[in-house]
Formats: sequence, structure tokens, C-alpha cells
Amino acid sequence: MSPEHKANLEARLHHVEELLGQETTILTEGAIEAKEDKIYRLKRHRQRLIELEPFNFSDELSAWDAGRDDKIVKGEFHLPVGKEVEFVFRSRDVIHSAYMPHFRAQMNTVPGVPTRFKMTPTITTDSMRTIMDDPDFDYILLCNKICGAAHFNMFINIIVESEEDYNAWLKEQKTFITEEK
Amino acid sequence: MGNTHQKESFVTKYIFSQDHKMISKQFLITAMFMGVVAVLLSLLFRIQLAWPGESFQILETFLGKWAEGGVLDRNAYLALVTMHGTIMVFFVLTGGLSGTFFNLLIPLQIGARDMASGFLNMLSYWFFLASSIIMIFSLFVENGAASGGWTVYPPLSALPQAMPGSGMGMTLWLISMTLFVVSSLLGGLNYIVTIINLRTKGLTMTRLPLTIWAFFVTAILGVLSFPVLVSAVVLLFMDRTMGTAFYLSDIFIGGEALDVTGGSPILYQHLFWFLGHPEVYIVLLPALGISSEIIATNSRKPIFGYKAMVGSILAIGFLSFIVWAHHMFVTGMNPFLGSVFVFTTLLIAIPSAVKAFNYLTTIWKGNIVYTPAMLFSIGLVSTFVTGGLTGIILADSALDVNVHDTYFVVAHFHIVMGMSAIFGMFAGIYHWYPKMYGKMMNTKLGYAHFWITFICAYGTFFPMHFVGLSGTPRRYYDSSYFSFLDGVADLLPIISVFAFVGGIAQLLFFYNFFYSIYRGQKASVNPWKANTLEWTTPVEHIHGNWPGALPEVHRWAYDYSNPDHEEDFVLQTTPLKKGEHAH
Repeated sequence: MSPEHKANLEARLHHVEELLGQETTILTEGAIEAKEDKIYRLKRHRQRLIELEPFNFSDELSAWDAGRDDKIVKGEFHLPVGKEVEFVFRSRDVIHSAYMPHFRAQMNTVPGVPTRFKMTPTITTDSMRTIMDDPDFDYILLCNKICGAAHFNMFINIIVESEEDYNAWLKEQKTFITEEK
Repeated sequence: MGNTHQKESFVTKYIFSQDHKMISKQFLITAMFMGVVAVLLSLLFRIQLAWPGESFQILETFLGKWAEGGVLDRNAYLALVTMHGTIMVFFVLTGGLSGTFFNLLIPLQIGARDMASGFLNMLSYWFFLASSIIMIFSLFVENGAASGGWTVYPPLSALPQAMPGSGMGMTLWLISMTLFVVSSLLGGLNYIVTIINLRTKGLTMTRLPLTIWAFFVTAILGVLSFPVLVSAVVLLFMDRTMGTAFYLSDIFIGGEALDVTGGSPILYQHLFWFLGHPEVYIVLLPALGISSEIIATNSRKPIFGYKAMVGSILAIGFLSFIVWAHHMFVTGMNPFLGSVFVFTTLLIAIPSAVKAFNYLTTIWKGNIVYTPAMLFSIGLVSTFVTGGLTGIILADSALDVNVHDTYFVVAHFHIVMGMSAIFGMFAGIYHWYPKMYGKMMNTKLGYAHFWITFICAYGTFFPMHFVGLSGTPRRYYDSSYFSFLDGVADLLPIISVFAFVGGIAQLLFFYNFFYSIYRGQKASVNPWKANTLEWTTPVEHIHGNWPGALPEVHRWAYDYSNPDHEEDFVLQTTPLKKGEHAH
């Protein structure tokens, strides 16, 4: 673990300790319960932060560092044409379903149970726009499992493009670690 | 028991009745009320689906704060969809269809004085009524009714903070379903015991009318599968209220990790569909049994392939327990496991096809009498075939990936399960109305009711296949949000208009039903010239069904157009002539 990440981790631990040390005036029984609940969760969170360090994939790469090159994308994601891609799905809250009607592909995303499938995109978005004679055409990924009030407009666009364009796009995307404060 | 008739007060005769005929009517009236509610709910959300975002005053009139300014609220939309599905599947097509016809026909067609336990039978109805009341009541709680779809998959349904409908509405849904299952089990055990033990002299299992065979297998399916739903519901209830994590794991709400690990939402789906698939046949088999009886009677021909019909009912019943995972092809299960379920699911096509062809061969060259009941039975055969064909597509996991949870599925199950079962129910009501109320329903209104309903059923659900193939997901509040669905947008108002006309046409039925109770033409003992035992009982209901001794059965139920006899029907109670062989 590099010194900067150690410092980052320590800062987060410190923040949790600070929160745990706070004194508040409790007026109602419900508030006592809520506070106990909060303390319990904070302690669990502290435990997780402490356990982060000893868990190493290998001697060189810590779990902390392993996630450094994970990219976070919003609004759309890109795929290289003619190359097999593997989707691995997770969900943070409820079951959703990643439905790509143009690819005739679908897989549920289940909290706690990773799901996966592979496919090879064969036609780029640009070619498809020509074929469809529609300059605004986009491949799309919709949510297809009822997930709440905003279920009907939960989507992300997919751009299929040449591998060079794909690599160039990927390079521009922020990694997970730079998002950390 | 026996046929001694004691004087009864209003309460024991009409309310806390233990007479199977009265309980049957209680089930029917309750189910009719629930059906009206469920249809109204669907018509309300069809307005939003056809003309998304446009203002309709009628929505605000009906829904108040759930449709401010006449535009349906997103959460209310999901609640309407969920309640429509729940009420239709469980309260109308399971409780209503089974409760009405099992109670009416089992004792009458097997020659029994009443059900094995009149008390359990009464209890079954009262649990059903309690669960119906709770389900209707849940529409009026502050945060709205359950909104997770009729399958109420967790974690959405398990986390009250996930959506408004997962609060009190969901709790009531779970309580209501538990009571419903209790009702269903009490009824089911009673039906099985009655059919095994109380058949009259001479009525061997191979002479049973196909209605009773279908009811018998349905009751067994219910008794074996509904307890699994209870376990799913109870575990979900514990996840919601007691902090367990059977279905929950690694969940973050608002950026904060919930203290739940180790559960699996997929477990719920397995438990739910282990009931859910037999449930489809719990809904469908009684309708098929009813139509077998009506088609044979009104074709004036013996049912074609009686033994094949019984065999196919048993085969469907058995297979229905080993196909449930075809509802879960896209949950990430092993594709090999998927292919096993594809195989077992496709096997169901065989007994289903046997039934469909036997109906056609029974009608073939028959001396057909087109009563409204017969028309609805033929309509059932039609929807059974149409919906069954799309079932073959959906059974294939590779094809299902593409259309899973789209309107294609909605079209499929509304035609094969919804319409077939509703047609079976209407057929049964038109056919046995003289037995229930001693009056005849108006035939002309019956014809009008059938044709409008039949055309509107196809008009509503057939275009949905194309909507689904275009990739429109079900349970979408507004599919105009995506431009790639514009191609099918014009179909949506057409679907809704057919749904409205079809819904309004049911007024013909209700008028006919209630008017005929008071003003209908008086029924004769055997108006359809049928063979089965219920047509040997007096028109006016009496306690114990037969005034004298119980009838004795000498032949099977389908001796129509027997050349040895003058009439084209031979009652089951007619003794064999010299030299005549029993079927």
C-alpha cells in the first residue's frame, strides 16, 4: 500500500472515530434506537476499513490498489466491434435487468449474486445509423425488471466502435480511485 | 347430514352457510366483485399507457391524490399494475373459479349429499373473504398498495425504503396472501377427500366426468404448491420486519450499506415460481375441465379420447412441478440448467396438444348446439391454442432472453391463462346457472356478451405480441420515452380502446346475471339434456341434494347419441340394457 493511500485510509478511519465520539442529547426512545443503530453501523464500517489492509491478492497488489484501474462511466458506454466482451453484472440496491433489445440480449442484475454473459458486437453504431437511415440511432441498454418509480426511464446508451476509438475513449474515462477524496 | 331438511335462519342459510351450493354462490359473488375491481384498475392504467402524460379528469375523480391534474402518478401506476395482477390471478381465477365450480359441481356430479366437511368448506370461504377484504383495503393505505409487480420480487418488496408501495401496502399484501393460502388449502383438502371418499355407488374413477378429474388434479396441485408460497411469503415478511436476510445481501440504500449479508433474492424466485407455475395450471385446468363437459354436451357426442384426456390432465399436473425455472432464464442461472427446463417445458406441449385436438375431434361432425356456454368453450379452445403457440416460443431459453419481461409475455399469459380461464368461467356460469339459481340466463344477451368479449380479447392482447417483439418492457409507465419504440406507439391506443369496449361489455353479463336471478325464465330439470348427475337433482335447492336415496351410476358421463337409445343422451343413472356394455 502506497503512503498516500495509507494516509487516505487513516483519514477515513479518523473520520469514523470522530463520528463515534460525538455526544448528542437524546430526547426520545426512537432517537436512542436510531443512535444505537448508527453506532453499530459505524463500528462495522470501521472494522471493514481495518480489514482492508491485510487482504492482498499478492505481495505487490493490495485490494486497495487492485481497484485503481476500474473505470466509472455515466450516460453511455462503448464497446469494441468484432471483439468478444464479457459483461459481469452486480446491483447495489434491487434487482434490475440489463436488457439490450437491439442485441437481443438480457441479464438480470442481482444484489449479492454476480451474473454474467458474453457477446460479440458485430455492427458499429455508425454502420447501424446508415443501415437504419437514422442519424440519431443508438444502441440502448434498458432496465427490464421493475425497480421503482423511475423504472421506465432507467437506461444507458451503448456505442459500438472500432477498437482504436474504443481504446481512446477508455483512456479518457476517470478511474475509480481518482474519485476518492 | 342426510336429506332431512331443518328450518334455517337467514344467517345460517345465506351467510354462515355450510351448504356447498350456497358457498359456491358466495365464492362467485365475491369473485365477481374482485373481478370488477381488477378490470377497473387495468382500465385506469390503460389510459396512461395509451396516452402517456395526457390529462384525464376521470383519473383524478377515481384516484384523487394519485392522479393530480388527471395524470397518473408513477408510483400509483405500479400499484395499479400489481393489484390488477394479484387480484386477477389469485382472487378471480384461483379463488373464484375453483371456489365456485368445485363447490357446486363436486358433490352434485359425484352424487354426494355435501362436501366431506361442510365446516371446513365454510371456513375456506371466510378465509377467502377476509383475505379479499384485506387486499382491497390495501388500496386505501396512505402510501398506496403493493407496487412490486404481482410477483413482488425482493429486494424491492423487502425494503420499505425502496418505494412507497413497499411499506404498509406490501405488509397487507403478505398478510392477505397468507390468509388466501389457508383458504385454498382448507378447500383443496376438502375437495380431494370428497372426491376420493364420497362418490356414489357405481361411480368409479374411470366414469367420472372430466370436470371432476380436472378439479381433482387441480386440488392436488394446490395442496402441494401453495404451502411453498406461504414459506416464501413468511420469509419475506421476516426480512421486512424482523431483520433477517433470507433474500437480501450486499445492499446499499442512499450510499449506505445495509446490515444484511448472505441471502439471495433468487431464492425467493425459486420458491415463488415453485408455486407460480403450478398456479398457472390451477387456473387453467378447471377451465379445461368445464369446457370438456360443455363441448361434449353441446356437440351431442361422447368426448373424444376420454382416457387420453384424463392422462393429459395427470401429465400436465405432474409436469407443472418441474418447469418453474423457465420464469428465471435471465437470472444468471447455469445455461445447462436452463436447457433442462426448456426440455421439461416443451414436454407440456404434448398433453396440451392432446387436449386441443380432442376438443376439435369432439366438435367434429357433432350436432352442435350453440349455447352461450358452448361459444365460450370454443373461445377457450381458440385462446388455448393461440396462447399455447407463443408458449412454445417463450419456453425456449435462447428465444426467451430476447422477449423476457416484454409485452410479448404479457400477451402470452393474458391469452393462454387469463382469457382461457375467464372464458371457462363464463362458460361454466352460463352452463350451470340453471343449477345455481333455477333460472335460465338470456341467450341473446349471452351471444352479444360472447362476441364482444371474444373480439375485444383478441383486439387487446394480439397487438401486444408486436409491441413486445419491438422490445417494449412490461410495467413501463411511459414507453414513449424511447424513440426506438415509436414504431409500435400507434398500437397502444388501439389496445386500450379494445380493452375499454371489452370491459364495458361485461355490463351485459352482469345485467343478464342479476336480472335473470329474479326475472329469468324458470329452468327445467335438465335444460341442456346432459348426462351427469347434477341434472337429476330438483331445480329448487334442497339440503342433501337428492330428495330420496342417492342415485346409482351405471355408465360413464358421455353417452351421447348412443344408437341403442332413443334419446340422444343417456343419464348416468340409466341402467344398462340387456347386452349393452358399459364404456
